[in-house]
Amino acid sequence: MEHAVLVDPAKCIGCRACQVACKRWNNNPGEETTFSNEWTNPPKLSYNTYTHIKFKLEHNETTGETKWRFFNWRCMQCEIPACAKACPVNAITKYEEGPVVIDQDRCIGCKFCVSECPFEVPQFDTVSGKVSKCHMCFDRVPSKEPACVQSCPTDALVFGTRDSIIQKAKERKEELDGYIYGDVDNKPLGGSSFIYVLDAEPSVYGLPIVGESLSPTVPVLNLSKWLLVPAAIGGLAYLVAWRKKRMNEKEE
Amino acid sequence: MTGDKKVPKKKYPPEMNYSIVLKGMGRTSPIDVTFHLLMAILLITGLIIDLLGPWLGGWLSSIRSIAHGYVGALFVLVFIVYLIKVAYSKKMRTVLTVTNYVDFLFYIILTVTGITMASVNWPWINLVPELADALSSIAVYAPAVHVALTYVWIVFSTVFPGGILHGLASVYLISHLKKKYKNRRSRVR
Amino acid sequence: MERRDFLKSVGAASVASFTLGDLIKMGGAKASLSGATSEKWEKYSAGERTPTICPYCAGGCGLIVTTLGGELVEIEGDPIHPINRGAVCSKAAATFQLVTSDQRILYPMKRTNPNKGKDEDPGWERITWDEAYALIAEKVKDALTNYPYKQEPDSAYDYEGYDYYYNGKDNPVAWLGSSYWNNEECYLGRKLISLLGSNNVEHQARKCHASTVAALASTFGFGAMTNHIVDAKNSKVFLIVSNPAESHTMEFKWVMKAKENGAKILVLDPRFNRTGAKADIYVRYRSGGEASIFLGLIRYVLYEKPERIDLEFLEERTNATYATDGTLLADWETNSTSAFNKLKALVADYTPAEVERISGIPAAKFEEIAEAFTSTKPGNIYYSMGTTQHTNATQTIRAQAILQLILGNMGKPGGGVNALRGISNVQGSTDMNLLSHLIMGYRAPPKTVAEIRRYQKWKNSDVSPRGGVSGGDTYTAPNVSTGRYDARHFPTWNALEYHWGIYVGTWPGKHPDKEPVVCDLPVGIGNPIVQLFRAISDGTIKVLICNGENPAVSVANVNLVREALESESLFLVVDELFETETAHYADVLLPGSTQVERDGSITNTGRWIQWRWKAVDPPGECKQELTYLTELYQKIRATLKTANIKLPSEKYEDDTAEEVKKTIGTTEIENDPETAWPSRFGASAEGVYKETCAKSIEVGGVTLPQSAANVIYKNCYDLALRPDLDGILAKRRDPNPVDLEDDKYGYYKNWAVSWMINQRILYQKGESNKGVDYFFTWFAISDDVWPGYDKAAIFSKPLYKPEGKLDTNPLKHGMPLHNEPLESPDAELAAEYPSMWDERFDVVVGSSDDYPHVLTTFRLTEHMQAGAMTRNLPWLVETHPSMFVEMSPELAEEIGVSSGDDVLVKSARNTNGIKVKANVTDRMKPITLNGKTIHEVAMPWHWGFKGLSTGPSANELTMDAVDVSANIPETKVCLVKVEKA
Repeated sequence: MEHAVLVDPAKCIGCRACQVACKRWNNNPGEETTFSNEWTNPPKLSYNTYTHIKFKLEHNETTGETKWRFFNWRCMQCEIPACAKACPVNAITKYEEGPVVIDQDRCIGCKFCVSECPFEVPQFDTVSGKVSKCHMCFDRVPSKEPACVQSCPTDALVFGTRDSIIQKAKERKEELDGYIYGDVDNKPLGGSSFIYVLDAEPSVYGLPIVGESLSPTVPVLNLSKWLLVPAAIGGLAYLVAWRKKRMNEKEE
Repeated sequence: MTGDKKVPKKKYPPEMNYSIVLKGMGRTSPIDVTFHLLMAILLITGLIIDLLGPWLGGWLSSIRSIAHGYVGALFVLVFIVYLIKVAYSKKMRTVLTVTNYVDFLFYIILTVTGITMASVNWPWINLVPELADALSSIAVYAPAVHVALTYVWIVFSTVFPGGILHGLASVYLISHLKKKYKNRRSRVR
Repeated sequence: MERRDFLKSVGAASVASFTLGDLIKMGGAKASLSGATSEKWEKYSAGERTPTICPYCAGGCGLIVTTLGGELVEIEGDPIHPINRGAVCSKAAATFQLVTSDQRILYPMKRTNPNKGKDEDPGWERITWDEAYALIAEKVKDALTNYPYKQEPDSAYDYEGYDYYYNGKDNPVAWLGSSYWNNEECYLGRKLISLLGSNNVEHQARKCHASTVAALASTFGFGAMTNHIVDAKNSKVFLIVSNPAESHTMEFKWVMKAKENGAKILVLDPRFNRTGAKADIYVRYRSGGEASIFLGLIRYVLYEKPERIDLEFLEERTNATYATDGTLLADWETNSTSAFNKLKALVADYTPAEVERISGIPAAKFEEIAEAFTSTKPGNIYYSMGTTQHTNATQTIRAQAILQLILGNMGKPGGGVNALRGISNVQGSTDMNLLSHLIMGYRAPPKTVAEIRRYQKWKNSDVSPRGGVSGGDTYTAPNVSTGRYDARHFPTWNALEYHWGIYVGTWPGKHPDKEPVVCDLPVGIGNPIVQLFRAISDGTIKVLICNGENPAVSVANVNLVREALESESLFLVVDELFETETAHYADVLLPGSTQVERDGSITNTGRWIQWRWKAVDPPGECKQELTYLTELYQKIRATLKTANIKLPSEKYEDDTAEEVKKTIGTTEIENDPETAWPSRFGASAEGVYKETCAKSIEVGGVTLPQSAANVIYKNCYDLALRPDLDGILAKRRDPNPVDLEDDKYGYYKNWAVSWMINQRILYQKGESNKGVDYFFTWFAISDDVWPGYDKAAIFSKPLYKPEGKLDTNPLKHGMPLHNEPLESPDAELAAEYPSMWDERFDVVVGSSDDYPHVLTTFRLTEHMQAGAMTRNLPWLVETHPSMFVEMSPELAEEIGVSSGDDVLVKSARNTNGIKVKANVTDRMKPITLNGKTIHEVAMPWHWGFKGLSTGPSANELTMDAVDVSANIPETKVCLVKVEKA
């Protein structure tokens, strides 16, 4: 059964329990960071940071209103993952339960997924020569919720079957007069297993608008090898022509 | 291949193999040898990764990083030297055909996209922020262009004569070599 | 573990070759996760689970530790725990790294470099525990040699010879900490230092909620959070003068729950914080203006919305109905002499306009929150350091309490004045009174010989349970006030006599006024934290045993603390997990154990007493604190005896060759500190727990009058109720409700136990399985008038006042008023509302001309207090890697800095200033105060010069003047100057 996680930034208090719990479950080391004025730290996802909280502060000088948004960011676990489709070694798998997992043993570090992901999620590591990303705790789900979800104090992350999560998202959308990102209102890459219910436009949270289908670069990657067929035919034709020519020369 | 028709008929074709070709080239132009050798490695490893990836998976990791990655980096350097040589040597330019120049274009694009992919998450790229910006803007297209262009180049090479020399001389040489090797084996038997 | 080993592929089938999965994928079907696993999951699912309680904040969240063959596998939130329901905050999530950190101290070490200083290398040399104990014992012996055990007799009494007792204040041995310790360890800490005759014992609580204890105890009875964590869900409106989203994350979980049910969140804070981000109304004010806000709110109800006054509640449950001379007034609502009308007169001036002038909250905005808070019930006030760390903190908290009394929000689910305590067991360590002025369960130590003589008479009055001498002079209270006082404190001294193997009284006891006092408890209160370090500097205190506390970062004006720690005359012992800033100055450094490495009970901010089970062994030579304490005292005692340093009663025996007999009732018993150490019930955590809690213990056919060493814990041990848990109710882990009421309000009465007597909402009438359902205040109007008993105190006599200062208007002492902080940014306000602080020691004060900016300090979710337990964990360091100062874009422009620039922040206490990063943010904004624009800046105070992440400490700038009633330093506000570095 397909499962999903509902991300509700309006409930997020930015405590970063998810960020640390993720590192703990996955045994990822802490990173050396520097002071960050907006507090998002590590500032980007990395090979050792599968998830982090993004802090976004807005201040309206005229009304004096301040809004501080926190939201959990990591792999969306797309239904049609561009990363998986672009992977030349089939190291990335979308599972029917939801997770999109990079098999570390199969990964050859070609970084095609890094380029193809519209969310800039997969991260390459120079030392190991591999790419990693959030795998939705494939080793825990569906019997146990992902580590980040378990850690969340305010239910800003909720785990359940995809149907129930979409139902929840719709109810919450009503309350917030909001927007569902990942399904319903916007289905990036066929819909994702992490579904946001937002109290503002996705752009406010810096979420890109991504089409339902893959960008043309992925099919190009996958299909261009068929050009070997005309090349082979051409080559064969040339060989045949050349041999014929030689035979003729021999007969002379 | 000019008008001289007085070549003894039975001396054709010459006994050829890689070592002879390489020796000859090595004498006349070491840079050419390096250039072609590296390119062959890159082409073959690239094809292995793309075609055999699903079967070989993780085994390709070091091929990708060393044989394709570091050799690729070396190739970029050699290619630059090669281009400089072309620019400064009239002799080189006289033997190059239009196809060769089109090939250069292919190589340049492959080189740039290759560097783009390699630059992802590499610390050194941060030292040159302008380059990082330029490369990141094309990062999305880099793998597709890199892979597809290789195949386009192969097709191109089979259609245009200049490319044929590159593409099929090897095929011929390999098949020839194979035949000879077979013969030798049968003799041993 | 290599991460690539760890992140093993999906299933064993997936080696690096073409797999079935690939075929499925190629066919377009999706693979199933069945059989997918990882090394972590394998270990986790095979592991053994042990429950513990989080070592960080006082929320009391449950954690589950998973171990496999002794190896730590995982520490996660406890899914059945009623408070956190499996969730954690970033700190709790990082507990795994706390335990496994490679930064931990693993062996006892001694300093080889005699020079102490921030930049000196201590030159640590590994020693054995025995060597460490011997070293400490020797130094304690040296310090106590010649410390007088007998005192000149008081001329008021008629007898020959000396009084035998140690003066608790001048004793050269001092003890610090710790709120990170379990109750049993805190208890033994207090016991140990008392047996050395010293009341120089302090810990974190002094710096965080000393003013709460003073203010709430004098208003309601207990100085503790009135409701509990989960109770937030019952509230309809929150007035938050704290930052629970960051500092008490799991408390905020329940606030968010209430919000989902329609509750309003009102947040008052000088900086827009993560709590403010979730507020319905956020209001910025100037630090130091708190009292005016609450007095303004009281005025708003009394004058603008009198229909919201809960008259019935005031009449039934408060002393509003009394005149301040103690007369009960039938016409209290109209009679101008009633406390109610006195209060009304007092707050009349705190109009919204005046509140705006003092606090900087625009009047309209103030009325908005006043309306929102007072119009809805039940309303809940959350507060913490923003209120407590001021020289007028006791006043402000009193004002909060009075506001809640007027609105009738007390003793109800969803109401209350809720002090959010900071450290995991700070409530427990306060209950065990690791404090210079209290001894066990908020009981006073003997302060004068007169008290001890009365105590002896009290014992003589009822010999059979109390001991004493039959036929001796018996007790009559000199007056009502003293009678109340004695009735409260004497039973505890009596219990301690038995439990600690000591003697308190006169000898032989028959005629207490005509005999020498022989008292093994230290007499007189000790030095509170700020004064303690001054006593080190002037050489009075020579040995400091500092456990799980980091005063070199955490005490206000830390410059003086570090100076004191550098004193040649000081021998410093530190028991810690990491080499902290304080440990850097240590002579002997002892490796402590983490909370998952030991057993014991801890008390959370909502007074729930929960059990921690040991899950893993301490690494290296790290010792469980209970073992360390047990062995340390044994060694000290043995060493002291060799130098003939003993308890006063033993010295009396030596000097007079007369045996001081110890009795339970009339039965003479063999009892001395050796047999009583560490507890009457053995050295295990369970044994010590039993000693602190057991309400009834029979020894030799005699039942002790008050058996629990700590009276407020007396029902936490009940063998009859839970024989399966050996009577230790803290071990209960049943999250199911006991009845409908429990279910509705979320008491969880079968989960662990709470004081008092498992009552979950203090002072609530009719709570099922009730404990303390009444208010009780201890402060009489005069010695013979006690109107406030069983009532909450609108009017209350203060604990004590500095000689002469502001003593002219008693009303001002009995009811709160606004006082400016000692460093006020506005001279006019400072003159109008003069500061009230303890003037008995000197502090350095700057003027607003030299230091125009207001500094406040704050905490981050990701860091803990003085930082040792978080600045050494890479997972937390990455989130906030460096010290910074938050400032408004307006101030940044004025001084010409931008985000990430280095700035210098100077105060009168640190004229060179500290260099920190500028966090230029709209979270800070200028405040208009008394018509002037004031810039306030804010700094986290977690940093110091040791650990993985280092930086200057905010306390290098802060003010060390203290509140007169509570001795809490004014850490939350001082004047600084911020300039470009």
